[in-house]
Amino acid sequence: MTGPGAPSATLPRVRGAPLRAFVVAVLCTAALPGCTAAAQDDGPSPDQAEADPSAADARATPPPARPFELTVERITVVGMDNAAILGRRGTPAASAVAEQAVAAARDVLAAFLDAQLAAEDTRFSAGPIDHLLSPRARAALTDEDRAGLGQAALPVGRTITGPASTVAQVLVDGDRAHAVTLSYNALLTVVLEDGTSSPAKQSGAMTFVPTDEGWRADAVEVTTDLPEASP
Amino acid sequence: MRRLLALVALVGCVLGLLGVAAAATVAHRASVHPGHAQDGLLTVLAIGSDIGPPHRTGDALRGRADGVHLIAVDPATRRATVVNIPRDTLVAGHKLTDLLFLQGPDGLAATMADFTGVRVDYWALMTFRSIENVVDGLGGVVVDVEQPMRDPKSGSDFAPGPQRLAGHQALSYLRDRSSVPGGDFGRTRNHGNLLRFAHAQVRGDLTDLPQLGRTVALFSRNTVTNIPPSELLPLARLALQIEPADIRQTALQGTLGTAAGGASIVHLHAGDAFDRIRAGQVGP
Repeated sequence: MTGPGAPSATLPRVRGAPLRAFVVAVLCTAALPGCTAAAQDDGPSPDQAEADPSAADARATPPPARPFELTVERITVVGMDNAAILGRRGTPAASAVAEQAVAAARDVLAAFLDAQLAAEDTRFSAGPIDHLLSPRARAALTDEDRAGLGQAALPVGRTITGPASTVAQVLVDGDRAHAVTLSYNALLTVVLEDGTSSPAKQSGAMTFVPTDEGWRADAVEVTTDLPEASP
Repeated sequence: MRRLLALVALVGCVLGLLGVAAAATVAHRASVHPGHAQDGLLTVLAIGSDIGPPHRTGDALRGRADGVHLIAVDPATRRATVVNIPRDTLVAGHKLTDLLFLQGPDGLAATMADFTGVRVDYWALMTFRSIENVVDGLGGVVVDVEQPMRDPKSGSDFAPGPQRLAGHQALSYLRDRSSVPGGDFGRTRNHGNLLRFAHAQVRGDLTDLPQLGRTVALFSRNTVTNIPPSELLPLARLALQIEPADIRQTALQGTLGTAAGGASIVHLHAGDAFDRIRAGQVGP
């Protein structure tokens, strides 16, 4: 992609995904609930629960899942200023504006991931999806899209969040950010009520735009891998 | 190798002993791409200005219009019609090409609305430089050249058939009116062809959101328009949702004449092109 006026620039990484979290996620995906629970300090292992009555109580009411720690690994700023073709000096894309826009979009995505995949009272329901989307994206949503965003009727016992990271691309015209696209990956483990445990993930991209309700996802291209519901 | 096998076996045994069961997972996909929505047709007047650095200095918004195209889209059916209008067409007592210089893009759009009877929602103007930038930014555009083109003035030198044109070649392709049948009519038709080929090429960007963003920014950097920035992405999504087969291209013809000052003009034969759009009929 070329064009006048250095159209894109990459800002330094905001925060890297911790290696420990990645290792934990790999262990999660190996379906070792006891191991992952211990590694994440997320409650006692099943073995401990069998041995200790107080631990058994803890298993009956598992602790809430930790929120995702969604890290922004890279920000790319893409300029939209057309001054060059008019022979005028353009306004440089403001990196501070870009960072603010990315932070706002990142917060909306992180809140969605927590509500959709982790929080006990809202996970796998419709509410977080409605809050995530712009009005026109909500109007275009199908049942298939809802499933793709994580709405599901699953007998979930608990969820264990893994690492989540994103790269960001922000479209900036001078001192105004018009859109932020986040390409992300969020890993988790889903433990069903019958004790079966599965690695799950949501990955893909969303484009956020400013709306009257704040930054909201206006386009979505996302895949969610979830355990198959029992017949 | 033996150690690896032993490790795998050990992990299997441990899993078996723990009685761990893993449920099968299913992938679900969400693909949400709302386009620009409005009741009735959406119309855009695409204007090619012959002024703009570095080719010709001056105000691109007050250049001569080398190409004028009325694009009408039905957001509901996702069908479109592109009407290519010859630059020498006599409109409101002037050559169409001069109206940009005389009235600017807002005035040109208003005059064309009166002339065609079609409401014009937006205008979008490109220069020679911006056409080169966009084509190069897309990695070239594959154009099916309909006949041999060779014209030293425009720089065209193309054999017939599909070929990937770089920015400067695309500009030659657009400017050649000497070696194409019909002169300015043929050149105007090639303008529409390039639009059509570029559209077909970028359609895959719809589901690649970062790439779509880069493409929209590329056009934004190289276009002057009255389209609100907030509508650029939904308009781009709407455009990419249109199948190439659902685009009707109408290259208008006319009768050559001479204006009072001796300049060549075209008395347009629009046929039912504008009637159809006024009636809400777009597409093939």
